[in-house]
Amino acid sequence: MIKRIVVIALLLVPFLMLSGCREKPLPPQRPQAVRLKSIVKEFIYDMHQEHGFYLESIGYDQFHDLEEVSIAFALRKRCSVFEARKLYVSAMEELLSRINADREIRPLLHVYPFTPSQVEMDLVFYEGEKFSKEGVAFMFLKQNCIFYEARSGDFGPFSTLNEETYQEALEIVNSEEGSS
Amino acid sequence: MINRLISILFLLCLCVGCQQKIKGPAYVGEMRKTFEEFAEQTSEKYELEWFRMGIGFAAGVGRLIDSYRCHYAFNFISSKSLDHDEVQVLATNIAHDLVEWMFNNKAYAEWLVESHKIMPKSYPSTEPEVENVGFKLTFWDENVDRPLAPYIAQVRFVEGELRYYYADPETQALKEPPLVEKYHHH
Repeated sequence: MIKRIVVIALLLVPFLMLSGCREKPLPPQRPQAVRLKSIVKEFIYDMHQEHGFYLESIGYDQFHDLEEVSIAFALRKRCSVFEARKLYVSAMEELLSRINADREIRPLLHVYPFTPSQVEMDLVFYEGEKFSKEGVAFMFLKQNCIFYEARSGDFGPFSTLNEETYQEALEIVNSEEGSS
Repeated sequence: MINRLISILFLLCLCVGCQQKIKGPAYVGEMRKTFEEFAEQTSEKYELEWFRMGIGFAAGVGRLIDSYRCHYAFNFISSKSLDHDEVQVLATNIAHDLVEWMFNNKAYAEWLVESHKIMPKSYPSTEPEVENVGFKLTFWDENVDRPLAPYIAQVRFVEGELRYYYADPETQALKEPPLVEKYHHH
């Protein structure tokens, strides 16, 4: 009898320990948050198909309402400022138009229409496993200004090749597309 | 001896299994509950939807209405098209209900005292003030577009003011600066 109890108890111990230690499941995500994520996911997929973008990191700021999206993309190619600008602006405009066109999440956007201020997008250019040594190595948007950074050597500091407001970059790209 | 050991082990495992993993102070839970009740009642009374609320300065609730003096705020949505005078009546009524509710809410009073003890810089006073509450009420038409002037696109109750925004007819962005009126609580 005692042996039986011991065996049953020993069998129960791991189960009870596991039930005590397991993580409580997270509450389900709000449908709006899920919708925003699915828009961004589709966008990432399309950017990969069209331009060869690889996703480096992604984040959402939606503590109270849908405030901000952060995406970092990597590209395995060498790009001049001219080419990098075109890639950056077209990706940004595409994402903004997809988010703003979605009527399901529109009332819940912190700012409507979403603008580049609500999207933190970085592009990193690699050659092999290292930053691109020629042309733009890294570009980002900060306080409505796009910075084009070059890298000297594998461990050297970044230096700014060019900087311009997002509006200026958009106008340049639009005028190039209009003239071509 | 073995039986005792087994019993102790069994009880220990049960305790570990049944314990709550995350449990905040009771006054926070009570606050949240009363907030939800207020949001439900207000939505029903004024035929609104409420999407989100925020509690607490430290959690950045002020971001909801871009005010860092705000302790708690609500995000309401309406599908009506209302002009300034109509929105003024609606927003003043909601603001009045909200401020009254805050002044008479025991859970809020307790929460404020406890928050002041923990973070006196974020909660400098234990006395409720009108600036501690706020809301955002956004209007959308049946196509989920912002109603254009003469209709108001959004009204905010922020730091004791009612701020009325019209939508830009081309972009639907909220036009700055808003029309501002001081709120007087009676």
